[in-house]
Amino acid sequence: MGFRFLHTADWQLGRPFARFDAELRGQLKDARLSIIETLAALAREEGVTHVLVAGDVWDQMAPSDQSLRRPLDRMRAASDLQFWLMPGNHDPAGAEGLWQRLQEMGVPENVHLLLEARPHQLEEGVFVLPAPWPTKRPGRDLSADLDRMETPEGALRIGLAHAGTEDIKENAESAMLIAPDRADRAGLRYLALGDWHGMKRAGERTFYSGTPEPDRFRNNNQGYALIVDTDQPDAPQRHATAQFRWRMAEAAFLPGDDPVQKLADIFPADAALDRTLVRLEISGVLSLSESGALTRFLEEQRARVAYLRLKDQGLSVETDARDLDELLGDGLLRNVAERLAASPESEASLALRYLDSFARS
Amino acid sequence: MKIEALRVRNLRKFGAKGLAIENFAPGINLLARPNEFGKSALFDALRAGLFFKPTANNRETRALKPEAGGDPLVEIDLSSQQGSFRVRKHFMGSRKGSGTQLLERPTLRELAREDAAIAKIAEMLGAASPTEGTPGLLWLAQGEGFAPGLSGEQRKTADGLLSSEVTEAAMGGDVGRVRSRTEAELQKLETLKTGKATGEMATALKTVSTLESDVAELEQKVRLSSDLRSEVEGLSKREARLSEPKETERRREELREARLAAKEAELDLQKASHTREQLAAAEAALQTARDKQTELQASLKELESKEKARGMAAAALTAVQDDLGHTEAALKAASEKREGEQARHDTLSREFAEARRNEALEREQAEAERLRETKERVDTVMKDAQRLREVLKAPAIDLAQLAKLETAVLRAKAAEEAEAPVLTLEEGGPATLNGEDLRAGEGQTLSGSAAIEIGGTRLTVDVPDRGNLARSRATAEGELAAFLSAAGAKNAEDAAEIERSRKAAEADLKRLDAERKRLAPDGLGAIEARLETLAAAEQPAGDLRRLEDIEPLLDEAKTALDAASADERRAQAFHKAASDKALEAKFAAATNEKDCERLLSQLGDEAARAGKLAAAEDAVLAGERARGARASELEALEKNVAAGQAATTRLKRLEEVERKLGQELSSLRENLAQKRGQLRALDADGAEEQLAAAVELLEAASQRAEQLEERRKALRMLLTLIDDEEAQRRDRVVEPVMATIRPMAARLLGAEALRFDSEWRPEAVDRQGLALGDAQLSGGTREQLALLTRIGFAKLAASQGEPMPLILDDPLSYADDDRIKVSFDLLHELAQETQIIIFSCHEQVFDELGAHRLETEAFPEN
Repeated sequence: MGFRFLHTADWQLGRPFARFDAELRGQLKDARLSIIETLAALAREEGVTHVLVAGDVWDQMAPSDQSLRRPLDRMRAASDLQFWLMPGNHDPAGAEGLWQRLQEMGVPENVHLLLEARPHQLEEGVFVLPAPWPTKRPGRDLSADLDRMETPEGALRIGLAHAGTEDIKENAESAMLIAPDRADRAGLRYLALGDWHGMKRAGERTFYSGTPEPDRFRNNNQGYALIVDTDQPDAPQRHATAQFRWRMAEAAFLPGDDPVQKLADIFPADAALDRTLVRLEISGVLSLSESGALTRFLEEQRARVAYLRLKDQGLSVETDARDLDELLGDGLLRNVAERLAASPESEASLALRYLDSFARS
Repeated sequence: MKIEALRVRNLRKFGAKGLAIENFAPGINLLARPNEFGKSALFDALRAGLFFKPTANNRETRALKPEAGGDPLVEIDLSSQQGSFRVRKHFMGSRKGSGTQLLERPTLRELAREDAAIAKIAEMLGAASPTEGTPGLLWLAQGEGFAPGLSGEQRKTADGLLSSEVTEAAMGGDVGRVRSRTEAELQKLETLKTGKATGEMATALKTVSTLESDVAELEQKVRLSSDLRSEVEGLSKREARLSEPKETERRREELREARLAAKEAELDLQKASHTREQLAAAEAALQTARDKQTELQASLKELESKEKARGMAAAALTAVQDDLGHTEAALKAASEKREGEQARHDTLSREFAEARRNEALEREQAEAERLRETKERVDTVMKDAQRLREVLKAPAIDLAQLAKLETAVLRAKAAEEAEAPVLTLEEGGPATLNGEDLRAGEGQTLSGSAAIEIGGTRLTVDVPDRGNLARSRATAEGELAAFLSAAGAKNAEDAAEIERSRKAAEADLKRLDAERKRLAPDGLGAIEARLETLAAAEQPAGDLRRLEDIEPLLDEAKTALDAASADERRAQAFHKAASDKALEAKFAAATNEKDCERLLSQLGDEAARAGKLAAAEDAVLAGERARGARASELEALEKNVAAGQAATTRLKRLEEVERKLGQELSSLRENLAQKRGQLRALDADGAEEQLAAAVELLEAASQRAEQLEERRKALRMLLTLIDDEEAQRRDRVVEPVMATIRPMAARLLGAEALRFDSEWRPEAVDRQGLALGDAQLSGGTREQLALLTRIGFAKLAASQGEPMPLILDDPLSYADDDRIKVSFDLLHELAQETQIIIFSCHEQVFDELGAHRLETEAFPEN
């Protein structure tokens, strides 16, 4: 067995979650802060001492004192572990920034700030080579520095960097993307990456751990931490760490679909969903009665999940004679329904659903 | 349905006796009674009997109460297709005791009571609500026709009637519900009338706007923080540069070198300064030697002159002493002369004084003589005056009065004589009268008894008594005599004399008093006192020289004395001056002598003096040499000092630089600490976190607002469409009523077209192309339109099933004759199928209606 350590990243401490109601917001913030205990427990279970955090420990360049001190206290409490924190694009080590504040506050002995691009010895013969973000826009591949870092002959070199790669560049400047062969070029046994919030292999002996606690609607393997054994650098072990599940779902309907049936796997009847946040985008066409059923179903689910964000602008309601006969007979309301169904106005579909709902209840 | 009887008791005007109408007919019924009969009460009684709940305690039930007190009772007999019934309602003003009964006629068996009875009645009336129904729509209360349109309740009834006409309105109830749900939902977002955002919508918009300003504020704060961060960074860099160790070390080394150089310069400076002091000391010593030499030379010169002066002083003293002897003798002679003159002058002065005193005594003697004379004269005057005063003691005699008294006597005598006989001896003689001889030619007045003797013949004539005249004369004579006697005069002349001498005495006394006053103004005592004083004075000597003789001699002596005194003073001055000079000469000689002695003792003899002089010269020479040596030494040193000054200046500059850098660094650090503190405080608050939160909130709030807006639009669209459909439907369903009303309106009003809005307000009556709104219609037209709509509805109701009675309280009050006739026709047409009941106070108006007259009687006793 080689040298083993815990690879994590993108804690994004101090994230506000303001769009959620106060209760959920509190829970989400709590969950973020609990990352430290969760990872500490994992580390102990796996018998590792070092926790390497590959950037974006904090969500902002200038978090509040509260956001700074509370995590520090929790790390201090895990005194049997060594935490190696590196600045990322969210929390670069700019002058007079949060890292300087941390230094002024005084960090616990078991917390190490990787503010300079130079090797730091983790243990005898084991070095971490960090590529910290010095500013908000360094404009280059910071991991290139790792190539030039000198370590004693035969030392074990573990890289720590934070940026996108060619695969996952999103909006990043291409100049800043990490070279795909960085592990080789810099003679690294393993390159621990941060930035991409999902767990992902990014090259030879190169992995994104993803964020240990999901924070956005994206189905990309969020909520894990990696236990790395340098003897098996291409096969880090993935461990689930998330408290909350953020589910992004889409559903497209056709008339005749049973909307409840179709959404059953998103809202499994036999699972507790109070720690699941769902962003559901529905589109397609439903009949008036199906649409009514869908609305009622979603209202029920809204009460079960921690949060439901529904995007239904893409859904239109179709009326057919059967619907109308059943619901509205042939009187005035039927005329209204037919006129709504025929209307090109964007609000007509919603108006129709209202009519359906009011006529039924 | 038809009403067959109405009975009321204890209802409004109608007391315990009550009122009953038992003869309702199927067609048109008319109850024509004057005002205040209680027709409106009967109208209300019908409504109450059919619709009101006796257990209700509300405005309408309370309005039924009679003023006199008591509980209203209403009975209505009616018949319908279902049979004949009696409704009995007792209004007790509360739940207790109130009641509704539905009885079967004619058995009067109770079919139902209370709520069951009320429900049954409502069913028979086809009422949608328990309080109103088709009759409510059809019954036109007094004045109601002027209110435009139908009440809400009536409208509902009308809609109910109409909707059953239209097949497509089967889901009418749902429309109402959907509409009210839609409105309720929309009302959560906006005010229906104004479209103003309200409730959730307003909150969402407000939240967005609040958050927008929050975001702006926080952005500002973050910007501030960022600016501050840059500033702190700049300051920090500058601080690092200033405190950079290499540079600091270089400056320190430079400073150290400069300090060494400056120290050397300082030593040179000190040396020069010391030499300068030595030079100054040498100069001072030289000066002292020179001073001593000068002093010695001066002393020698002085000795020489003093010795010369010694002889001159002695000669001067002798001459001055001679002068002093002369002046002394002159002074003695002048003094003697002055003393002789003084003695002579003194003697004369004494004699002059003696003479003056003696002459004063002589003047006093003369005064005493004069005073004695005056005293004698005063005594005389005073005695004379005393005497005169005695004279003047007798009273004054009134001479005028005396003259009057004399005149009175003369007058009385004259009067007496004029009356008396006169005896005249013409010739012959001698004859006597009363013993006295009568002379020829002289008449004698006779009085009393006159004895005439002629020649021995004796004759007696008795002149009769002329009493009055004699008495008057006697009185006047008596008065005169008394006056004279009082005056102490013998006769009138004597009295005048006495008076004259008295007057003279008065004048004399005045004169004497004046003289006395003049002689002794202060009285006799003053004169006597002065005399006494003078008598005591010394007697003058008789053998002295007179003053005028002595005076010239004295003046002469005085002049001589003055001259002698002046001479003496002059001699004294000369003597004093000579004496001063002598003293001065003596002092000068003594001083000179002393100086000589002093100088000699000081300078010694001739040989000693020469030695001293030579020594002084040597000292001066030595001093000059010493000074020259120091001066050249200093000159050499001052060259070094000039070089040293450059080193000092450099040190100063370097020190100044160091000081300024230190200052800058210190203020820089202070500023840095302060700014950093501010920055840390801002950071501690987590402005960025707050901003991120606010941005997220704003995004959410904006989405929420958009969602609500979408909902609002959808609801509004739904509502608009419902409104639109309803309007269309109304047009369709109203048509049957309009079809009934239109021909009647044409007949009654000559109106060509008639429209009603959704509340049954007449919208326009087009007559001869003229469009009129509700507000422009006359009261009569509105009343008639109200009647027409009721007839229309009654027909509609009749066509749908059981006809309901039409009840009109005082209709057609404003109609003209033509319209009344048309109205009668219309009512008769309706009366074919519907019972009509009319209450009116205009009996004649309805004469031609041909209605069945209703009779009233008391509430039946059973």
